[in-house]
Amino acid sequence: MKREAITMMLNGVDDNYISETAVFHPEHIQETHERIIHLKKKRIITFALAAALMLALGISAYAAWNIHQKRQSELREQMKIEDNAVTDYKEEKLSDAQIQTEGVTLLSTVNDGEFQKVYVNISPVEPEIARNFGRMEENEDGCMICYDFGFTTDGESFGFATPAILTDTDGTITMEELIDAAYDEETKTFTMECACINTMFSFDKPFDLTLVLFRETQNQNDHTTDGEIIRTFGTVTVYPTENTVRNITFINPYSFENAATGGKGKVIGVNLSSFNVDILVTHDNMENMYSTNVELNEEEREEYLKEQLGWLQAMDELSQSMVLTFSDGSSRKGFGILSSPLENGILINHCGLGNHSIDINNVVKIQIGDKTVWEHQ
Amino acid sequence: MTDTEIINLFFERSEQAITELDKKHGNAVARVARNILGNTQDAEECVNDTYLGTWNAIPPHKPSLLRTFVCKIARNLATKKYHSNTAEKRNSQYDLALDELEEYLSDSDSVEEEYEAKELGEAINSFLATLNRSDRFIFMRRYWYSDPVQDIAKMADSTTNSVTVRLFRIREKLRQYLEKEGLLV
Repeated sequence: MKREAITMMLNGVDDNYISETAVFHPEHIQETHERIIHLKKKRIITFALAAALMLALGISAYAAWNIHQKRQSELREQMKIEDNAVTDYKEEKLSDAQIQTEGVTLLSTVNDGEFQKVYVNISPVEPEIARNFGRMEENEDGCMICYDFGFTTDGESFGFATPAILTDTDGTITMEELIDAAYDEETKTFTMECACINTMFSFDKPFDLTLVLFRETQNQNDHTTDGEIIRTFGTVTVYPTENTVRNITFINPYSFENAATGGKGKVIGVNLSSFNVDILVTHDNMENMYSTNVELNEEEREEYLKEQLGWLQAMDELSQSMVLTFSDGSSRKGFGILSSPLENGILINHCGLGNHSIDINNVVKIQIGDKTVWEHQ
Repeated sequence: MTDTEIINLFFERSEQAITELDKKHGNAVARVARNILGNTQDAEECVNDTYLGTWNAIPPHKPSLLRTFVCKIARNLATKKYHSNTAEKRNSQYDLALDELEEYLSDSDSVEEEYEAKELGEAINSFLATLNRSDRFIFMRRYWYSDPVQDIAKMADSTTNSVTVRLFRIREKLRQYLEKEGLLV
C-alpha cells in the first residue's frame, strides 16, 4: 500500500474517532473484543421454581433473579467453564438476599493470571446511560463529556468496569452488540466485568468492591480530566480466586533470531492456565533491554529501540505461530502478547486467551510453526 | 465563548467568528498543520486557509463538533500542500508517521494497487472499532494528528518506549486486519 492510499485511508476516519482522541481518555489497558464465542442455546431455569418465585416475590424481583441466573449461565457457557473443567472459576450462589432489584449482585470471579476478574450485575442503569457507554460528547464549553462505570476497593483508586462479553460472534464485536448483550432493558441491569490488578487487593483475604457511575469532563486545551461520582450502586465482598498453572519446560528449547541485530533467543517453555499462556523466553542482552536503570544518549537510544523492536517482532511472530493441540485433536493457535515482564532472568510473554478458556490438562502437543517443541509422552 | 456562540457568529457573517475560533481552537489547528507540514511558515498559511475554508463552509454546515470540523479542514489542506511540496522539503512528523505505516503495509505483490476511498474508509473505521480506547488514542494521535511519539507519551502519561512498542503492535495488527480484508496482498 502506497503513501497516497494510506493518506486516503486516514482521510476516511470517522468524526467520532477524531473527536474521541482529541484528548486522552485514561483507561486501563484491556484486550480488544476480538473473540469468537460459542454460546450454547441452553437455559438452566426450572419453570416450576420460576413460577413459585414469581408468586412469592412479585414480578420485578423475579425478573431480577432471572437476569442474575441468566447472566451466570451465559458467562459459564461463553467461557466454556464446564467443557474445559476450569477449577479457577467461582460462581456465586444466588441467595434470597441477592434477589434484589437494585444495587450490585456478585455473579462470579475468575483469576486469569493477570487480573482478578469479577463479574457483577448493577442496576438500575437507565437506557440512555447504558446505550451511550463509551461515547463522548462535546459540551457547550468545548469539553468532552463521557459517562463511565468504575470500581474501587479502597474508595481512592478506581478501575474502569466494562460490559461483560456475552454475545456469540464470529469475529470482531461492535460496542452496540456488546451493550445489547450485556444490558437488560426490562430490569435496567448492566452486566459488567471488573478487572482488578493485584495492587488493588490482597490474595489472602476478601475485599470489598464498590461500583460507581461517574462523569468525566476532559478539557481539550490543557489535557486535564475531572471525574465526578454521580451514583454509587453498592458494594459486594469478593473472595480472591487461585490461578492454577501447568508448567511445561521444553527439553530442547526453540531457537529464534532477532532479524534486526542477529541476536539469538530461546523459548524455554510455557506456563498454561485456563485463560492465559505465558511463553517463557531468554535472549541475548536481555538484562540490558529490560532494565530501567539504563541511561542512553540519542544515538544509543536509536540502536536500543531498533534492537528492542527486533526482539518484539521476533517474539510476536513466534507467539502467533504457536499451536496448542488437545487430546481430542482440536487446537488453539495465534496468541497475541499483551505484556512481557522480566522475572528472575526469564522474560514472561503473557498472552491472554480472552474469555475462552482452555483445558490445561488436555494439552498434548505444542508447536511453533511446523516444529513440534513438546509432546506428551 | 461556547462553540454554539462561535457558530452563530459565522451564521451572522461576523468576522469576530474567526477571532473567537482562533482563540478557542487555534492551537489545535496549528498543531495539526505544523505536524504535517513541518514548517512554521507553511503551517501559518495552512491555518489561515483553514479559517477561510471554515468561513466558506459555515453556513450552510452547522457542525456539532466544531474542533473536529476545523481540524479536518486543516488536515485536508495540509496533506494537499504536503503532496504538492517537493520531495526534499518533506521532513515532518507526518512523513515519519507515513514511513512507519508504509513500511508495514507494503504489499508483497508488485501488482498496481487500486483502492476506492470508501472501501479504505470503511476498513480503517472497522479496524479502529476493534481497538480499545487507549490504543485507539495512541494510533490516532500518531497517524491522524501526526503527533511526535514523545508528545503522545506525555499526553498519555506513559514513556516513549512504551508508546513505541504499542504502536508497533497496533501497526502489526492493522497489517493483519487489512490482509484479512483483502486490501493487502
